[in-house]
Amino acid sequence: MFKPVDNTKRLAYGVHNRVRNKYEMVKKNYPLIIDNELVPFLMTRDNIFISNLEDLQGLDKRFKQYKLYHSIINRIANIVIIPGILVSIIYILKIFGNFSYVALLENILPDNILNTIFWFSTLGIILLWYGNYREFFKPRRIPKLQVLTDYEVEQIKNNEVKFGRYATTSTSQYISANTLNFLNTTLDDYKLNPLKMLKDLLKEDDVKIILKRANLVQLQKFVDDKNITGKNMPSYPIESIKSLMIYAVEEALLTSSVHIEPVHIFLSLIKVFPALNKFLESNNSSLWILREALMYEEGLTNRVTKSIFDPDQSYNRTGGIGREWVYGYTYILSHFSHDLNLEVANAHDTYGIGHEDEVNELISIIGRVGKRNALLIGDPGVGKSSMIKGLAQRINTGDVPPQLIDKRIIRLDLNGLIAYSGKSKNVETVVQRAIEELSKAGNTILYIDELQELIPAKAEESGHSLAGLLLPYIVDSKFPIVGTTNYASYKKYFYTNESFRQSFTNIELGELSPKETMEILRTKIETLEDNFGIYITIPALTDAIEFAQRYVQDRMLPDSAVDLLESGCAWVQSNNVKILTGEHIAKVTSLQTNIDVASISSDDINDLGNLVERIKARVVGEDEAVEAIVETLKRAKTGLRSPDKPIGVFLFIGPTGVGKTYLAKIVAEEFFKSKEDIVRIDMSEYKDEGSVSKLLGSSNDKNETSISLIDKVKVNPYTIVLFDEFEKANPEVLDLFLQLFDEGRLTSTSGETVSFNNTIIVCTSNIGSDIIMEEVSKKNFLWDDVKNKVLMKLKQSIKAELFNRFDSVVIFEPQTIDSLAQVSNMILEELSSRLDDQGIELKWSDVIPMLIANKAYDPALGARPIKRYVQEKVEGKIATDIVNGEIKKGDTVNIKESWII
Amino acid sequence: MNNSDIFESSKVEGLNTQVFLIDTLKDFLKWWYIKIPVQLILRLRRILTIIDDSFSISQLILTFFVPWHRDYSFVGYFIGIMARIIILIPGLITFILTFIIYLLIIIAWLLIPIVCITLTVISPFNV
Repeated sequence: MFKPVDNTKRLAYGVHNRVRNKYEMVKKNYPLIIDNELVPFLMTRDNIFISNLEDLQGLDKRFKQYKLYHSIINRIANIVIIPGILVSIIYILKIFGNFSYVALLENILPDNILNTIFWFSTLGIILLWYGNYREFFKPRRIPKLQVLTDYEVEQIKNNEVKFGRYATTSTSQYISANTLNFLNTTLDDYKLNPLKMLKDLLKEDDVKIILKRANLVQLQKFVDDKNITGKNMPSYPIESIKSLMIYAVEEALLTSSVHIEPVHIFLSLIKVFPALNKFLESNNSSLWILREALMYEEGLTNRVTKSIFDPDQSYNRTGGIGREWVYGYTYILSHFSHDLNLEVANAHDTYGIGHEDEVNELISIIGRVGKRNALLIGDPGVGKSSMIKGLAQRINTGDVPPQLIDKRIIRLDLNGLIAYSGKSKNVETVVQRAIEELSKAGNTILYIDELQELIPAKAEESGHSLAGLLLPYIVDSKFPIVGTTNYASYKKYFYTNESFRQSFTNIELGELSPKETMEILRTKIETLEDNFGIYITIPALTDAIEFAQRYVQDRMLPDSAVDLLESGCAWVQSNNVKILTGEHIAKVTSLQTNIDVASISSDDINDLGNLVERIKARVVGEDEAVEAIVETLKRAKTGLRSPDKPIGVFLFIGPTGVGKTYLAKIVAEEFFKSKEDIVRIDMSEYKDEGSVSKLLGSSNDKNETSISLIDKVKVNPYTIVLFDEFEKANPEVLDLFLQLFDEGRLTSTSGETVSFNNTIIVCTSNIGSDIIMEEVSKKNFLWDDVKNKVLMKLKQSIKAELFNRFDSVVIFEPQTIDSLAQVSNMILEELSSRLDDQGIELKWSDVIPMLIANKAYDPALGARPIKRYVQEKVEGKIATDIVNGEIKKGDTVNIKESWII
Repeated sequence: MNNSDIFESSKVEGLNTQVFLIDTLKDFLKWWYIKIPVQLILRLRRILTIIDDSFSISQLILTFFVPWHRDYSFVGYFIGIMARIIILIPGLITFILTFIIYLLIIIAWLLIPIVCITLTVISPFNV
């Protein structure tokens, strides 16, 4: 499961014994401390949060008094207002009517008294106003989380903490009025009853909202069904509340909340009680999902107002009515360009998240006097276009140096340029005039997406490339030009072109981290929900990131994850589902990549339990080999293997026909649940020198249609790679295997790295087959002796470092007559099922498979002749009979011994 | 509050009424005379920004003598200046009026408590 950076390990818990004045760090997970002498505390880089009962008691008392006083003040204010209202009515009556009782009133209450009452009651209005707008109970804001440094963590481990340098505060200062009210209703009899607390928390709106967002609404039912009882959530003395508050403040810190709210107590209950944690695990969720949900919901409430008049909202300047007046016209250019500033001003997205440093660098480059062209280099999907839009957004808000204020970013549309010049003039003239316009306009930044596309684009008449036409202007730099490209194209086109390379300053963009991608996805939720009319849960986001990282190899984060999320939304909408969850993302990923994501990502280890039996049922006589493989696969599925290596690397040894390739196919079917998941490479084709490039060549080669090993694994990383007769390959190729087996990756000739971490690699070899055949033909041979001899020969034939990199070397036993009979039986069963489809039933006696095995047995060829024999003798006969009309639909055919002999 | 003694709060010291009243008064003054006026000024600044942006006031003033779409002919200069004058007049009027009205609101806000108290006190003697 995807996790953002885990900060919990960078915070430390401890207890202070205030009688003996001793500190001790808590290493056990989340205990509830009930000893009154012990004060639990939480350490961050700058702060120590302590929690004791006295502070909570004092807080509670003061809170109640505050409440009381304010209700008194409110009542007084209300009382004061009433005479004021009456006086106002009298004033109005005086103006509009001439009633007799008004005159009477005047005698009793002279004007000056009325005025005094009126003005006095306005003071009451002011007081009421103040009371309504001002929170009477003001807890302190929790400081921003600063995690402990490595050094401090080390110090804490060695019990060498210098407590003096931390600011110590009591958690009670951060508790909100809401939480105090909640605690007052949920605690009784000086006891902490976690079960009651949980039930009360589930009634809180905040908790309900985050459970919905985290797709965990079933918790309510789980609790209602009495899955959680006093046994797994027993009562504790009231003192335990101080520990709970410490855990709550940790949650508030981790979710960047400003106060301790009931929802943080909810999260800390999950931490403390394993029963709740197990519920999360069984629902394929985690505390992190809930924290993310909380952070998202808090972010939403913080920006409920969307009015541009709200000073807290950012304001995008549009330039107004006179925006264009001072700048030159760009008539021609506007036919094949877009104004990015306008596009961004009308969008509600935030661009450039995660690339803030690069945007600043870009601003400093294009703000220069000379050489102000920038080239953004990054793999597809890292957010190059989004970064430019981020710049446009900053120009709109005015958050740029003076020389960039009111600049327009114009995106050149190359296809539009070619189309436009095609119908009127030649490209040279159009480009020249557009450039003239640009330099005259005086406020533009030219942005060319995928700059490398300029180079092959040619002007029809003169045959000059567009890049060549533009080069003088690029070098001249009368206006800044920003281009984007990827590494492969940079290497291919720009690295070799000196003048091009010199006129741009490069900015490299790396792939965003999952945490930054999460931030981006969170900003998309609102727009996507509005657009598709659905509800998006946090697991959908985390799964989109995880699957994008694992299964989408040709694009990077964040684009790959955003794409999966949007496809998920579309899928959910078209299937009339209202809520988008992780399962839908898995479904969409499977559809897009043809990888059965659900079965691969399922952590169903029980499924592996009977894998041995399932494979054994289909592979005859090679139990030892099967067990060795399944053992390795189990290690992989349970997460015990190193993640930077292939799932398994096997060497299968044995004479032809023992079932080496067959076993690999069966493993592919059983493990990856797909028959097609096998990449087979005959290594005898890689004997020559130069075979390395043949193996590593990618689609960038001259021979663009050939698909190399790298391409195949790139398309489907969940596969078995089978190297047949691997010892026949050129030694250079074998050296390549060292890297492949060890690091689980290969780099193609064009510099592209492909991961083999999710593949199973199987090499087959005939080395030692002669020994096996020779030894087995002897009477009373010992299989262990044979194996040792073969291994000896193997070690002489291949390098020791290669040999040692195999997870297991499996030597296949030659088939005996008995096992061949089983094989024949399986082949006949397969034939029978094919005939079944045509309505013909096939029957045979027990003697038949044995007979076939005896007849077809050839020690040198193993099981292979069996199939041919069955084809010849049984299939051939039946086919002839069907043609001659002797066998019809609905008939039962008995295989006769005479057919075989 | 149904369970007033949840935390056994009788054991701890509570709130002093006098301190509470002084704190409340201080907080009221801070709220009325600092917080709200600052908010009003920020709001005014935002409104003026929006007016400035919609009428392009500052931009038009800064570029008053730049010809219409960089057409450096007499006509270009003439049209440029005329167009700016036409937009600038209503723009500046809106800008200044908004500024004055808002300023009056802020001043009125600051005066309300003083006026109320003063009139409450002097009204009985004002026969």
